[in-house]
Parts: sequence; C-alpha cells; structure tokens
Amino acid sequence: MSNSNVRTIRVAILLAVLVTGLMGASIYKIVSLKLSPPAQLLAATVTVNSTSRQLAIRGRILDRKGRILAASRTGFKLFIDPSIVEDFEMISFELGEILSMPPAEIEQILRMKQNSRYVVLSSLLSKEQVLAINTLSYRCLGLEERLVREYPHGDIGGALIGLVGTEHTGLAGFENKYNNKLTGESGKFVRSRDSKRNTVWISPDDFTPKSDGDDVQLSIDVVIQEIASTCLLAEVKRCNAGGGRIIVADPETGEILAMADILNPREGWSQQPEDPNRIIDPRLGRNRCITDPYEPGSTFKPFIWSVATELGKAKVDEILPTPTNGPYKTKSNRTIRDAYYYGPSTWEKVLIKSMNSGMAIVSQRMSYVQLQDAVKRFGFGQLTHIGLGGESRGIITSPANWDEYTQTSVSMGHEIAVTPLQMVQGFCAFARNGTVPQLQLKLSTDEDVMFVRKAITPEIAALTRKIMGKVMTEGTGMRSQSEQYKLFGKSGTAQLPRADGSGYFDDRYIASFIAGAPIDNPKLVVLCVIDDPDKSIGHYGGTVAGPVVRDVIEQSLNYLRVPPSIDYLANASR
Amino acid sequence: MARKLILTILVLSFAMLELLAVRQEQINTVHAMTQLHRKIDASNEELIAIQIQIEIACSPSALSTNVALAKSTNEQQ
Repeated sequence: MSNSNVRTIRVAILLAVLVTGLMGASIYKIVSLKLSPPAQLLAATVTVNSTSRQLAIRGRILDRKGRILAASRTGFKLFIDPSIVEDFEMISFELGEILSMPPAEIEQILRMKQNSRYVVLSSLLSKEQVLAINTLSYRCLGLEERLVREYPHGDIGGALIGLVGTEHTGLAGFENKYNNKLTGESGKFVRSRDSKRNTVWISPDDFTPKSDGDDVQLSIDVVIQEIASTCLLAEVKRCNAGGGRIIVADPETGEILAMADILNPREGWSQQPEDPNRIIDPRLGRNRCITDPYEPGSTFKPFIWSVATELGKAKVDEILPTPTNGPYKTKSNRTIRDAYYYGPSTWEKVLIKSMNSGMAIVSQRMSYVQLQDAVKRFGFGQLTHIGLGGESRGIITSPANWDEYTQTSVSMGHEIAVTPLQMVQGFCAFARNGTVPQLQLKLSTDEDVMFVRKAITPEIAALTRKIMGKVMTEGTGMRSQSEQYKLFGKSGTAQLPRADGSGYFDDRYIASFIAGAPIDNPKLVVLCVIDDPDKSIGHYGGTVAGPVVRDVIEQSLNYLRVPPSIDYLANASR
Repeated sequence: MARKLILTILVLSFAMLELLAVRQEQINTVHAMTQLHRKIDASNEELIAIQIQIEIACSPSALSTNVALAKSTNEQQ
C-alpha cells in the first residue's frame, strides 16, 4: 500500500469519525432535550396550538341587472381579556378616546368582569378605530373578524330581501329563503404559536380552505322597485290611506319586477292594517302582497267576463236588460246596485262601465260549477308557489256553501278574497295568449322551463284586452289613461270588511287598479291596492290607485326603453 | 475503497443539505402563498367595500336626490 493511500484512508476514517461524532452528539442533544428539557427552556418554548376560523363570505343578493341588494363585508369587533389587564385606568382612558366612550364606563365594565377572559367592548369597529387599536400594544386586547351585511339600497325592497341575524343567518325574506345557497362554509387552520403567541407554523395538513356562499340573482329591478315604492308612498300619504300594495310583473316571463307594501298608521282610525314585526324591524314585516287577501271588487270582473264570453253565455254586442233607473233585482230578489244606470247595455259596455247588474245577469246564466271553474282557471284559491313564506290561498266560498247570492257576488268581485299576487298572475293571462304563467322572484335563464296553465283561448284574451283598452278611454279608467302608452286595465272599489265579521263599513273602502301596457305587446302588468283611503280625499280605484298604476307604467316603460305609442309620437312631433 | 467511502459521505452530506434547503424553500413558498392569499382576501374585501359604496352612491334614490340638488343649484345660478 502506498503512502498516499494510507493518508487517504486516515483522512476518511477521521472524517467518518467526525461526522458520526457530530451526528451522535446532535442525536444525544435532541433526545436529552426531548426527555428532560431544562425548566428555563421549557418555559420559553411552550408551543400552543390554536385553531383559527377563516370566515366564509355570505353570497350577494343581486337585482336582475346585477346591482347589489345585499352584500357582506368583513368587519372587526374588539374584545378584551380583563384577567390580564395590568392598569385598568390607563387602558380605559386610551380605549375611551378610540371608541368615543366614557373611560369610567369602560373601567366599570372591566372591573365588573375582572375574572372573565372574553369581554366584547365594541361589536363593530370603524376602519379608523381598527387602525388606532392596532397601534396599541396591550396583550389583553384582541380584534375578532366578523361579517357585516350591507344593504346599499336601504329600505327599497327591504321586506322582500329580508335580513340576517347576529349569526349572519337569514331571518326573513330572500335572506331566509336562500339561506343555504348564500351561506358558505368557513375554513379553519391550526396555528402553532411560540410563547409570545407569534405564529411559527401553519401546517398545510390542518388547513381547510373556506368556501364562500353563492350569489342569488332576483327578478326584481331596483329602478322599477324605487319607482313603484315612491309612487305608492306618495299616493298613500296624499289620500291618507292605511296602507298600500303594489306589484309590477313581466307577463311574458312571469317575473316580478317590483313589489312593495306600505303601512301608514293613522291616529284616530279604527281597524287599521297592522304588522307588529315591522316595529321591530321593517325588514321583518310580513309581505302583505303575498300574505293578506283582499276583496278585489270590480277588478275581478274581467276574469268572469272572459270565461262567460268563451262559454257563449253572452255575446260582446248582445244587449242585456240592465236597469235604466234604480237597482236591478235578481231572480232571488236580490238588489244589485250600479254606480250609474245606463239602461239596456251591451255585454261589452258592462265591462267598460263596470256594471254590476250586467255581471249579475250573465252570471245567472252560468252554472255554479262553471263560475267556480272560471275562478280556478286563473289560479284563484291556489298558491302561486312563488317561494316566499306565509303565502295565502285567498278565500273562496266552498262549493257546498255556494248559492245564488255567491254566484252574483263573485261575478262582481265580492264574497271572494284574493292576494295581490294572485291578481297579477291571473291578469297576466290577458297580457299573454290566455295562459297563466308561473310567477317567479328569481331571475329566469334561457334553460329554465316555463310552466303555464291555460285559462282562456288566445282570441278571448285578445278580445278582453281590447275591451279593457276601452275601459281606459271610455270607462272607469279614464283618469288613469296614459298619454304615452295605450293601457288596458280595470278599476275596483270594494267596501272594507269589518274585522269582527259583522259586515262592511259604509264609508271605508279598498281601492285598486290593475293594468297592463302597451296594449299591442304587453311588457308590464301593474296592480296597485290602496287600503282604506280617506273618503273625503278620494276612494275610487280609478281615481286613487289608477294614477299610481299609470305613473309606474309610464316611468317603468320609459326606463325599459319601450317606445311610446305611435299616436303620442305623432302628437309630440307636431 | 476509501475514496468510495469519502465520496459516499460527501454525497450523503450534500444530499442532506439539499433536502434541508428544499424543506426551507417549501416553508418559504407556503409563507409566500399565505401572504398572497391574505393580500387577495384583503383586496377582495376592499373590492366589496368599494362595490357597496358605488352601489349606495348610484342607488336610484341617491341619484334622484343629487339630480334635484344639481337642478336647484343651476336654477339659483
């Protein structure tokens, strides 16, 4: 063996011994530290694992154009651990300045809960307050992330959208209905902290990523909602009514574009529409467009008129023996009064002038089953299945109790109660080809299958629409006719029923008006119900609710860029 | 034989060092990822806050108030 080889072997052995020695020493140190760590080291190196939550953002509620109706953002709440506070006075003074709270109050809270580990001092901090808190170096203070639900459009559509509770779960309206879809799944991760509570490691194995909630897009249009709410509120105030309801729908798709419900408590009035939940929060109130049926009065006549015509019970130009002077007497000697007595009139005129006597005459030609079927065809007495809670089916006399009195009453829209939503759904048949669409509050997509129910033939729907166009020019809707668009509609004025079931008030009413436009290619159907307007100001559907419907239709169609009628354009160009 | 032993020790040492470096790099990457995620989350939060502010400023009621205000200002001038 040469000298160089011997040297190499020695170096190798030396290196091997050195490396083995170092590794052995390291292993010994590790084992000794693990088995019996020195007390000083133990105190300094205690590792604390803490699980942190990663908040999932709740999905947004959007209107049909993608405008935000409700969205969540993260905010911070301030908490304190009073058990480790060293100087109560000092910290109270500093926090008092930031939170704009009296320091004495903070100190009192801290001293009262001295043994607590978690006391919330502010449930939501502003951006500036968060920055200011971050400059403080108290170990006892902590910021906790929380979600804040924002409603950028304030109370517009508030009752429809609903609200969330402190746990950020939906309590009412869409927030409640789509809670599962809107709610995401929070993530979590485990932090390993050192003795100074600094994060030293987050293991990827202990990390569950958050999953934010999905957005929900509604059929509501904020602009139309604002138009409808503003017009309705102005009219309710003007005629000192107990409240008002309005619905705007697209008859083509069955989508609800706006829905508003206003209450106007008045002093000194008995039996007013009320809702105790609204006192807690307006967003918690019930949506009376869905929950509270009302007597539709003459707005119900087109439904019976169209079915009677389809059944051949009367021809449009047939002259009926409507009275010239004084009320009409039915076969069972019931007295039917009209607002005006026009003498013998055509079946067409009966609808245009809203003659109760004419409706009673033709309803007597129909069998009970035929009239009951007419009511059912348009969806009255059945749920619309729009998807919001508390929906009412309305009130319809049962076939067992249906008599001649009912037969004549229902033909005039009395002895029957419907929800505004049912009215709009049924009226859409006249704006379409005689089919009743499934109403919806969620934006429909091209892939959605549209469910419709046949009510009347397309020809009868077109005929009824045409005659309701004359209601606007020659009948009870004259004051509600639009200059810009040709409307078709019907007014209704029903007496207010007494809550105790003892009949009706003589001088208190429910005024309503329902209309669609433009008459040739309807894009909108609008119903307005004014509850108990002050009779000294006005109480007829055509004068109280009609102008609201007209204004909403005009403004909404302008907004939707629907061109005005040719007549209007011709006059405007002169 | 000896050379092979030295070579093995050196290669193993180098490999261990590389493994340590890779692990450190992994920690750095995870840290960078976390920072990035936090930045994305913060940006998203800011975005939502801005969206809400825009929505409030562009709400129909705010717009009509502003238009009415602008009209009255113009009329006064």
